[in-house]
Amino acid sequence: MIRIDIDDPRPLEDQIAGRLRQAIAEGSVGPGEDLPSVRQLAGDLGVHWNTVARAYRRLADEGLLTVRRGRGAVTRDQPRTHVRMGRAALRERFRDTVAAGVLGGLSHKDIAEAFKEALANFGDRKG
Amino acid sequence: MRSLAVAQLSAALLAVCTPWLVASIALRVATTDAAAPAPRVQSMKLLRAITVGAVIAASTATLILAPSLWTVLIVGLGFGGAAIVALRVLGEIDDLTRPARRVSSAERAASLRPRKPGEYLPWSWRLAAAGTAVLGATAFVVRASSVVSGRRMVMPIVFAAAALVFLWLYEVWAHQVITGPIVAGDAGNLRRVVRRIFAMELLLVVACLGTAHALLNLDWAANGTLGAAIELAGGGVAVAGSALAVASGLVGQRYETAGR
Repeated sequence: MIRIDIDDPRPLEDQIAGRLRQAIAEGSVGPGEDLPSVRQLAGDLGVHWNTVARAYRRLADEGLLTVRRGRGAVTRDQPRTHVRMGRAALRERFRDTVAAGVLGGLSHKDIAEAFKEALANFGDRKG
Repeated sequence: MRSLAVAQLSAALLAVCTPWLVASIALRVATTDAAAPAPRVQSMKLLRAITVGAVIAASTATLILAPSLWTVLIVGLGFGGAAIVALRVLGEIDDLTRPARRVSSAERAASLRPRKPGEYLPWSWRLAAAGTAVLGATAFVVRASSVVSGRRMVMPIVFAAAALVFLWLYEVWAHQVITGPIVAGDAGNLRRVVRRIFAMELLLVVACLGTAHALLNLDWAANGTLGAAIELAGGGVAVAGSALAVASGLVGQRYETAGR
């Protein structure tokens, strides 16, 4: 299942790509599995098909999907993004997220628990 | 009244009433799906008035002028006029029932599993429907090649062709329903909807081919009333089938489209 919020200030394309990335990382969409067609996903989410097509294309560029003309999108057999992230970039993203949480009224404890829960959803993919 | 005149009159009346029948069925389907009281469709009054006028004109022309080109022209004008207004009626129904079909939730969810026709309708069933249509149409062609000269061939051919058109139209419809928009939570209904479409598809194929075969080689001079009854029954089913296909865009909930 993929969830988006059209009131979220982030572009819909970013939300869809982010949710798909999560689904692949968590393993809820397995390697080599078909994804819904652009038309199906766009219709179900009530967004323009071009938004979904751009999200798919972005993940294909990152090396997570293969998009075949007329056959839809398929996750790679060994989905691993070639967009490398250094520790500094990761820390920066964490800071942004924590800042959003603090400004949104969450306590340090809530934020720490949210991180732990999120991390627990992913297997250790180091190596 | 001669039985042939009865047959001509019934065909003319069915033709001029078709737009009104289609619009009425579409209104009923859209209203039932939206679970809302029937909206006030302004153009419906005009459509009813034009249909009544067309019925009177077509009946008079068929009884007085038939068989002649004038009859064909008057029935054609009646059908055309009613069809133009019926298109307006369909547009109005779409506008009036759209708010009930649109879900304006900001939070939206969708499954990441592709929906494939085979999951909702066994391939064997679909093949059986296609096989019935192909076999029926082939048998029709074989029978038509040895028909007694002087028999009326237009209506049997129209019905045989309609069976194939309905097969294609309903397959496309079922495919669009499966891969089209679904508001999360409605997915459970999908199998029931698809199977209903398939049942209607099978009924239309069998009814149209049955009518085509029954009318083929029929002696209209001797059995005009029987022919008219068969033609009306087959025509009624075909009109209902067309109306349901037309109404397919007026049902089902979906999210309001956001972004580009």
